[in-house]
Amino acid sequence: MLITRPNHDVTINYLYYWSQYIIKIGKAHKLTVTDVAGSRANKKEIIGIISKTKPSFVCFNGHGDEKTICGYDNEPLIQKKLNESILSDVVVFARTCRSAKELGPSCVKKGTTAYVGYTDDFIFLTEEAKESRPLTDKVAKLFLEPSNDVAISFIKGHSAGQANQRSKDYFKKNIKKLMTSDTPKEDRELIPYLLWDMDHQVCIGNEKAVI
Amino acid sequence: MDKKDRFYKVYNNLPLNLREEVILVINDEPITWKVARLEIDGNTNLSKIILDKLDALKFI
Amino acid sequence: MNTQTSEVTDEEIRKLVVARLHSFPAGRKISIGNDGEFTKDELIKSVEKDDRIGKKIIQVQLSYLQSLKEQRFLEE
Repeated sequence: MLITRPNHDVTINYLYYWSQYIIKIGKAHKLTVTDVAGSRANKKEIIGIISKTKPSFVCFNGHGDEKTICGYDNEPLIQKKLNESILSDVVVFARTCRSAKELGPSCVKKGTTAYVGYTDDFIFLTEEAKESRPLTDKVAKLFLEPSNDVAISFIKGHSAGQANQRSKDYFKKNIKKLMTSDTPKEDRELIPYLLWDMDHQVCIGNEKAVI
Repeated sequence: MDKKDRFYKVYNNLPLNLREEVILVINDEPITWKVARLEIDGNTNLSKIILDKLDALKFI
Repeated sequence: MNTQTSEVTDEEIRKLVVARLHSFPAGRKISIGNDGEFTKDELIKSVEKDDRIGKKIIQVQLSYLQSLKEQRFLEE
């Protein structure tokens, strides 16, 4: 598997750190994990590695839009009607805003086996005081653990449809916990955003695909 | 089901932790689920406006 | 809010979302994709200005409030 981990702004830096759990589980399951981190998450390097190593699973972290997955410094890596075919026969998890809206379906049309991603902005809350130590941020954890579960489920052998559903179940579990009377009132403010991410996460392509 | 019944159906199943959330602002006054229920229980003039607005917003 | 009519205007919706944002906890930020991270005060300003971020927050809040009648989280 290949995982991209740019870290050029605060938001992306959260994904950079929280993706470490995906890498750890990948290695524990004896997968060859190619971690393309920091400024290495540029187009030349990523396309080169995908072409050379032909990973069965690619996990993208980064910004994006309906037609684009971006890497370090928001350089476009994969763009609709440009180079989706590089992801032919690959299972993709794109933790990027909105790319599942157009790029995802386009990738699948061009041969991507399955594409799990988000059809709108991926939103999460953070604790300001924890920005320099994202892994200690208990608020961000409520969003990024369920999102990580897509990739982790793939690594554990689940299919694309199952990975998507397991992640949504995790979001749902967190939402339900926040709805109970034991939860501090300020934490209920997280619910609309968790629901948003859960509802906009989709699986396109072959739901039975495994990596 | 009329708007009042629909309100109660939503309210009765609303987790306790969410009942103090603001759902409308009327005459610059925030109205929570609980305040809406108070007005609707009392069949006040305001309750009709509340129910109409909640219906228009598709909250009930 | 316009009490004379059952219609709900965009201005009323903005006021509702601003009122809801007042209970957004201090010390937390919302990260919205490419647009960056926002504090409570910045979000309120965005909603009042009705800019892209403001529209997004309104969409998220309305979507959530409309979902409550479906009772999705009470099912097993």
